[in-house]
Amino acid sequence: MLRVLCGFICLVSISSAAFCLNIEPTLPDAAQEQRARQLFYQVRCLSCPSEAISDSPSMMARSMRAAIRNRITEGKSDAAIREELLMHYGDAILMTPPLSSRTWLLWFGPLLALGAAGWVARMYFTASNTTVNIGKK
Amino acid sequence: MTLSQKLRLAPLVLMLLITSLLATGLFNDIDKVGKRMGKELDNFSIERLDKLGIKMNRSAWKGQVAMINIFATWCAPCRAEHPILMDLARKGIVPIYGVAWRDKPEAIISWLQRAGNPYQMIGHDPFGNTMIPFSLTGVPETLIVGKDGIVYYHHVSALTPLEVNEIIIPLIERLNAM
Repeated sequence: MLRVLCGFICLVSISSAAFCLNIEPTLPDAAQEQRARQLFYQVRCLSCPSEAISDSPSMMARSMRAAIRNRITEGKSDAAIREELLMHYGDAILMTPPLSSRTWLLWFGPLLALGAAGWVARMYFTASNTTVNIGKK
Repeated sequence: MTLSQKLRLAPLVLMLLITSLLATGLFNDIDKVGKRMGKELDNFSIERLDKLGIKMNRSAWKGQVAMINIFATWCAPCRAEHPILMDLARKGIVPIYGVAWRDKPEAIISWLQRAGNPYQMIGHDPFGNTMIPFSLTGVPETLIVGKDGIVYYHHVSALTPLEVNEIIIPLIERLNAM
């Protein structure tokens, strides 16, 4: 009896995971579905901007995945789909925004900050050494 | 102040610079302005909910100043802004076209019967196909189009009375006079 009860509890606990499954209609052509999935990794989720639509179960991500699949079946190329998304949502829609005059700070900002910090540190230590040397004299 | 003292202040200055940059990003309302501003809408085609079997597309509001409201009954902010839309429709300020986004027809009809129907025409988009044409980032979103079909206002999230009175109504008056 106890075994049956334990088995039942285990089954109920496992079956609750089924609610997390998000079954979406995929494209019948495997190569097209593969292309769609590659694009999902490149497109940012609109309601959860820190992740790509490939990882999100949100309604906006699901809609975007459906829209991308539709465009692939319409015969649009990956570049054309990316271009359309950029036109409608701007650079931020791609997980790696293209390098342009508006995004250069995003790409090179950390390097500039690192360079500035290095320069300040160098000046600081040079000045400290000079002070110490003068003090010794 | 010696060079060493000046350099000691450098991290503080850098930190202030970075903080002010982040604060600017945190407090600006750029996310509330949609990406369709100043552009014509791409065409789309969805079923009309108020006249079954007939399609709705951008020619619905051709040649007129119109408001397009994308909503869903499952979305609380959409319900919150509904009285504002009702008020605009009652006063006849602008024709409002509704796009019910990823919603069930019976839920939409039941909601509009209870809360009132401010829409001149309602399109039903059960699969979210209008997402890219409207540059949607969620619901509700509201667009104001001019007689030339250009989007002059694209608001992300629920409308507020202040915004309607101070921005939308004056804009509609200006567009009607154009």
